[in-house]
Amino acid sequence: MKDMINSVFLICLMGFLFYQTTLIDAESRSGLDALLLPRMTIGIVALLSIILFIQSLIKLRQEEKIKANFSLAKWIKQNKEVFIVFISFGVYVLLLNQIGFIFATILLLFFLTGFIIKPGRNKKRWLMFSIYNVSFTLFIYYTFTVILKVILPK
Amino acid sequence: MEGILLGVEAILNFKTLFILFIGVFFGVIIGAIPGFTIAMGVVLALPFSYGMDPINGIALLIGVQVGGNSGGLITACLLGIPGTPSAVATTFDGYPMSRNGEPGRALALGLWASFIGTIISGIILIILAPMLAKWALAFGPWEHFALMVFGLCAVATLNEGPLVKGLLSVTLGILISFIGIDPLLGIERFTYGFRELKAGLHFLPVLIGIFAFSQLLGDLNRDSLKPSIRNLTYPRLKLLKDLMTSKINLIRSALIGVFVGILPGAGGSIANILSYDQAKRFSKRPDKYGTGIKEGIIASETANNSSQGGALIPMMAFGIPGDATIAMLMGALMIHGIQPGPLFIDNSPALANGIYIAFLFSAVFMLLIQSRGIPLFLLISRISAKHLTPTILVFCAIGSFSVNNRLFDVWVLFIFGIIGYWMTKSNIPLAPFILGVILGPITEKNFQMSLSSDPNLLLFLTRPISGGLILLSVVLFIYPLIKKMLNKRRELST
Repeated sequence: MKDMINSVFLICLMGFLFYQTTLIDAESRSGLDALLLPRMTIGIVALLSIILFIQSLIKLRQEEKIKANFSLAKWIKQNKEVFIVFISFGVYVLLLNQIGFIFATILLLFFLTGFIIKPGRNKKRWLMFSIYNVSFTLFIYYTFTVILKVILPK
Repeated sequence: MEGILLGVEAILNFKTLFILFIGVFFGVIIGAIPGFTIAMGVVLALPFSYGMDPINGIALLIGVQVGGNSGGLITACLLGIPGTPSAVATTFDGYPMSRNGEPGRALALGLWASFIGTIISGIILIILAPMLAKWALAFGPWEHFALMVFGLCAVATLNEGPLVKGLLSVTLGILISFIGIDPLLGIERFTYGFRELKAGLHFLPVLIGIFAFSQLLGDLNRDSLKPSIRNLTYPRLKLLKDLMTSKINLIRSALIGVFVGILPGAGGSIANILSYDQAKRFSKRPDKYGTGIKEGIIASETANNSSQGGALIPMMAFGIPGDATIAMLMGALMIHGIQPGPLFIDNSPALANGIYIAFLFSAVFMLLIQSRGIPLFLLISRISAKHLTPTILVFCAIGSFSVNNRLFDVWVLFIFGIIGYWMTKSNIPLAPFILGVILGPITEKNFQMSLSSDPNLLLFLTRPISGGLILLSVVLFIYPLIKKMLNKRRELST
């Protein structure tokens, strides 16, 4: 079922990308075509997606059952942790330019500590993680910006 | 010889050796924690390499890679859980040997097999890479194009999943590489008005997102281990006898590892299983495999470490990374303005030979560190991988930002982390994708250069080397299909 959904998605995406190539002005004096390889690749991906679709259809028929019990809510619940980590990282990237590396990183580490590691109400563990989060961030900032002279977001 | 002496001179100073030592130590730690891949370890070390001299940066990454590949044997032998995918076959005999009351023997065999495998592959690397680089210098754009096509076909067909998904992965990666300005004609493609996309996507944030970021999220529910520390010693004379009576196995496994490592996309994870399988086939007592015999451990550990030397060969000679971690090594070189490829060894002999020497020294450090530090690494393996997830996410962000000092690359990391997670959940292999992203621009550039020299497409087939490589690519592509058809016929006839 997953393969079927993915192949349909890819076929639609390739159709969209192919349409995008028609909007590009690729004329050149040398006679070479800047869109030749992209179009060939789009075609190959589309063809492979069709093959994948057919294979998954055959597999579904052989198994003689269609898994129609897919529930979006259930799927989201099963992958809840992953979504939250992705979203928190997205917020972190947004904040990097606004409040700088040190504060954004400390916030991210605190949030993920609470969410992934789950110290709960254990004050000792929270204190330990707090010390780690702050000192790690400052250590990394110092190491990269002062010792290694690598620029970090300010 | 002169080149080797330059390499020795580049490495033999306290700072570089110390950095190499730290890299190996860190790599062993990463390898010992199940749930962490070597790629993640290299991602963590990558940002540190940006601010160092090229030789020190590369030494750090090589150390992490060699240490990581070897570190996986600790939990493989003592807990039956491979620390890294390249230690899967080590569990087949390493864990039973430990359960039979010989954990020290299992670890000692694995460690020395790793060391010998690394040294053998290092020697082959030193001999073969310059020869192949000289050969590659005679290539025209047709040959370079055909070589890239061969590399892409190899990575798509040699992965463990279905062929169609391997091909999908590599072509999607190539498609991503088309974003930006065309290399020869200067035409913008798929930039959608974003100024940052004009230069295309740098492959490092893509690589970090696809490999490290997505895999981190896949391991969020992994539990920590509770290993116990037991007597882990084993007499040296007995160890020497064990190794001497397995000479052929050692050499065969090392050669298998080198060969597998040379093939793009096929790394330690395939080498250890293939070598184990071959050792069993050639053995006089194949029924003993899986019960805790030394040959199984030796085959697996020799091959997975020798595959690293093999993976360095195409990078040094052709500029094609043998696997994802070598791709990161390449990225680190490119950030320092050094382009790996046929001219690399001639243009930067000290650095190129320094890489060989660093590789050999890392084997020595790995032996020293693991022989003394196994109780410590066992303690460290208790750390749950998910406890380090927040820290590694921060390193992923730093590693991506520092490539071009822009936040855009961190967004690239984020988006490709999502794409990588989707690919993992859909059983679409990741290595072909990343090789498609890396090799796509070079492939297209050589294709266009060939056509601008002579628009006759038949030259790709009529030029001997180019034609040979394309034929090999077709064989690689057709062979799994034919094998599948023959297997089906056999099943139907029985």
